[in-house]
Amino acid sequence: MIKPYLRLLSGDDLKKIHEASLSILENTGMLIDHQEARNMLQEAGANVDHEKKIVKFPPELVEETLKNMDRTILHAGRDPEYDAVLKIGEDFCTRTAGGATSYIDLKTGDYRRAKISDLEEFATLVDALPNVNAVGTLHCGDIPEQTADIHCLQTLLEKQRKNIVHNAFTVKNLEYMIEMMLAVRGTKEKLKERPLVHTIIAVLSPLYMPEDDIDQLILAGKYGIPTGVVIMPSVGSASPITLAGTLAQGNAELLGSITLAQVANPGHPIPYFFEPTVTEMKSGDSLMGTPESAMLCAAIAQLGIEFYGFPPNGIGLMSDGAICEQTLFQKACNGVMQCLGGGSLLIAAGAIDSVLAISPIQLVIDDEIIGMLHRISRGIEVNDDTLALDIIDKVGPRGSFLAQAHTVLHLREGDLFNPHIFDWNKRDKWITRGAKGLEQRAREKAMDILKNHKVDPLPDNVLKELRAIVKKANDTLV
Amino acid sequence: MSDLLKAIAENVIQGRSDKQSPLVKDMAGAPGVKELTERAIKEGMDVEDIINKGLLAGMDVVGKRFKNDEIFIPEVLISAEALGVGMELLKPLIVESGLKPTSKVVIGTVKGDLHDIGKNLVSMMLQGAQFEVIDLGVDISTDSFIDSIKKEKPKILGLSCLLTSSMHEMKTVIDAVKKENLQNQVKIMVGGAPVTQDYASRIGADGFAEDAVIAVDRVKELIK
Ligand code: B12
Repeated sequence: MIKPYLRLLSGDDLKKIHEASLSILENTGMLIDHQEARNMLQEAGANVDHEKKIVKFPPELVEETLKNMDRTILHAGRDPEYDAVLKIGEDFCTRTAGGATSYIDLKTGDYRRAKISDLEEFATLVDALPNVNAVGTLHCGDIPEQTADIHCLQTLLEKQRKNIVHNAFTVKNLEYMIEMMLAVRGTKEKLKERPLVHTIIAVLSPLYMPEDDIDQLILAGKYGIPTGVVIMPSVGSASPITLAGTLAQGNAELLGSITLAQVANPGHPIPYFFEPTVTEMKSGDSLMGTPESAMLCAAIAQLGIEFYGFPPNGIGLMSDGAICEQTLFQKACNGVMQCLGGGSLLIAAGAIDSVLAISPIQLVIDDEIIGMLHRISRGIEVNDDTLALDIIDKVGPRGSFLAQAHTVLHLREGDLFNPHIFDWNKRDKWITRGAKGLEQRAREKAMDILKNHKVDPLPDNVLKELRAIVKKANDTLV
Repeated sequence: MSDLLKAIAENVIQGRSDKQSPLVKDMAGAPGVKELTERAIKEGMDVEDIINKGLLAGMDVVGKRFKNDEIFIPEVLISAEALGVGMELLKPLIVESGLKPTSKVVIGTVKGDLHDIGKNLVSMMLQGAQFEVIDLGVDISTDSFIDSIKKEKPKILGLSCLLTSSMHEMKTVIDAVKKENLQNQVKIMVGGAPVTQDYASRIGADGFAEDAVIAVDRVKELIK
């Protein structure tokens, strides 16, 4: 593993950002729109103004909470072979983006409203691609609006075996979803031990936690289901235009959420994660693949690792727009920065157009980019074997290293990245092999996976139970 | 087929020349091509069988895997090396049994050009395919090529060139071969990054290959 991570910020910078975050929490506070949550925080030592719903967190409360938290995050798959563990010092994991509403048709390339059959297709690809470790939601349009989240969860539970990071529309919906998780896992204890779904709630920047999201946070915490807090301050509109100020505020929003979660349910796993976007100042849109995003990815990773000791998540695979060559550059740039920054979870594989759309072709290409990033994050190992003095001596002047056992052994260990989608052949060979573009090669690989990859079905009784829960949800919520 | 021949083939595939080979952890210390071939000889097995059903059968698999993009050049070369270890042991018996000797190839980089990585790779692959390769080296003059053809009587002459400024040297050599009336005795293959099939045809070469693996196939075709 790579040792000296990219250090964008100095130790002093990190400390200043942390202190600024504490100061925001202590002096400005957060709007916590939840009576019970405010009560709990007040009891834990926070200064609460119930009328204005403002909670001010004393630094000691935040620091004390951080001290007692577990530093490892488990993204459990259906079976342990699909587990992804986030831990500092270990290689990073990757998940797809959540929340997109459009899908790029694999065959026609059309950009259209996502359907549940798209999610099935996407799930199969996720299950097959080795560098993708967890999957996010796709909001489909051809199912009942009020229970689309529940339908999507059913699809992801059935059609693929990796960890699912999923948001519920309301705490009511979350109740059904937890029933579904229990149907797959069997018991509450087993679910807690191996949470196959992580939930997601949102903080609305600046500094506002809505009631239903807090309900969801507390409910998930009761079951020990890890909860990602989506904190997306848009630089220049929902947070200061300065990146330092955005880091301080986003970090404050996260620390506040973490504190609430721990006060409500001690031990509730919350990943170190916030994902500032950048305001497009001609339209107000949120951008995620700008150079500022890349720096934020690295800075957040550094804060997580160096300052708090948490394995940091980040949006290293985000991109804006739907032009392939552009998204590729943005993903590569953000990804490298997050990966060198020591990020533990790279988020947004498969996403394009500022996470408005999911593209199966992009997912296949991202799998390849992630492969390259894994090679980079393994770094350059220096020891007797890798210095290879004996081999250099054996080969001698004018010799060749090609036919050395040392070469073969290291080749097999993956010392040299070997592309599947990128074509590094010289032009002539590329032409004789069909002169295929990157997108075409990725499409062919996706088609091949869809044709040949099989996902074991869940046991019949579980499938039946899932269907019954979804039906019950439709009967009551639609 | 006997287990022993299968084991020889498998060890060629794995590139395990002998029992010290570090390549396959699970097979550490197990006999490699050397030990297995010695045993086959001792057991009095048919030489042709050892070669065709053991050594070459293994190399066949390696070639197919390489063409399917399943393995890499170093793995092919190391298998070829293992095969060579077996062949070396069989050599005295091949002469005794009157089996056909292998074909000769003379190869070199033309005058003015010092690039030899590609040419060396072609040589190694040809050796792996059991050709006897006489590698003249780099910056080779037309006279040296001609002398070597006369002396070694190769079936194939390979010319490598990576510099556009030296490419005309290939034509000079081909013309000289014709002038010396050697063109029926030796077929000429050309290659190197700037060389194309079109260029090869224009200067009157018999064959061209864009890489070392194709080169082996083309040489085999030309010899037929
Ligand atoms: C490595 C290299 C060098 C090394 C060579 C080391 C060595 N021991 O060979 C060094 C640094 C010494 C070198 C020097 C020079 N180089 Co140089 N070099 C290269 C480079 C980067 C790679 C060549 C290589 O080894 N490729 C890998 C091998 C495996 O591929 P290959 O040679 O093409 O061989 C394959 C096939 O062509 C085929 N093949 C090859 N030979 C044969 C023969 C037969 C019979 C058959 C069938 C097939 C076949 O099979 C091979 C295996 O698959 C190329 C650029 C490039 N991308 O090709 C420049 C390149 C060839 N070099 C170039 C130049 C200009 C030079 C120098 C003049 C630089 C300088 N100003 O000093 C000198 C020339 C020295 C000289 N007099 O020859 C130019 C040539 C441009 C031109 N118009 O001709 C190139 C294209 C780089 C560039 N873009 O400028 N070079």
